[in-house]
Amino acid sequence: MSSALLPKPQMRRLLARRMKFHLLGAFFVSFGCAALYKFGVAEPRKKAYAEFYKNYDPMKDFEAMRAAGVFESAPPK
Amino acid sequence: MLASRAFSLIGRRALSTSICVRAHGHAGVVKAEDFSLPAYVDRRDVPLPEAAFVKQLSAQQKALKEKEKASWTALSVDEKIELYRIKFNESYAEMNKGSNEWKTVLGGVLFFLGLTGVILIWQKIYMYGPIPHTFSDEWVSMQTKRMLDMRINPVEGLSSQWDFEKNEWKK
Repeated sequence: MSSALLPKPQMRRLLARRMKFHLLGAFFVSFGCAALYKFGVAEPRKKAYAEFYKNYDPMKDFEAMRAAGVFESAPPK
Repeated sequence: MLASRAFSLIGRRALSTSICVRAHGHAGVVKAEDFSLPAYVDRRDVPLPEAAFVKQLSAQQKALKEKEKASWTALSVDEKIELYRIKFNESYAEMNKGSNEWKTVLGGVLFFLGLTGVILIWQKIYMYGPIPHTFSDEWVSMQTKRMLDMRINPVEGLSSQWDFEKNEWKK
């Protein structure tokens, strides 16, 4: 056992330090998760819907479905 | 404990004639169980447990305890360590030291998962009957064709992956 003194450990403001670290961490993690979701899921989805409906012709779509024979009330011509 | 307090209030002579002491003889007090007395614990969040670790001190330890009552600078390092070991079982370093238990736990978990897998495979081969005909490749392709005809999920789902002009899956 050495007789040299160990450096005095941190005695005060332990909770304050931990709390600051975790509060900042929690803020950035949740902000990051929200940003990731927005730019990874929400925005692409909105774009996909916008693209789909930009040049969408419902009557043409309907005629294609009718020709394939999926409607009971509208048989193929 | 309660009986001895009652003793001092009422007076020894009065209580010695009472029935309850006669019934028990000398002992009017129930022996305290070990778990109800202050106990020693090795816990990170309890730095100074209620009791010392070593309860019955040997003659040598008793002598050391007497020496402790004098100036501590007279104690050697080994004596200080002995005093520490009387009071505490494990040091914080020993308490916090990890073990290899996780390997055993992980091994056990994986083993039983594998065993479950073997059971499930046996069941599929020897117990269950045939699956419905609607899972066959022909039926699934007919089913997929019908879903595409109906334009199921045209924005982001199934029909968005099919190229209706070229009549093939999109690359």
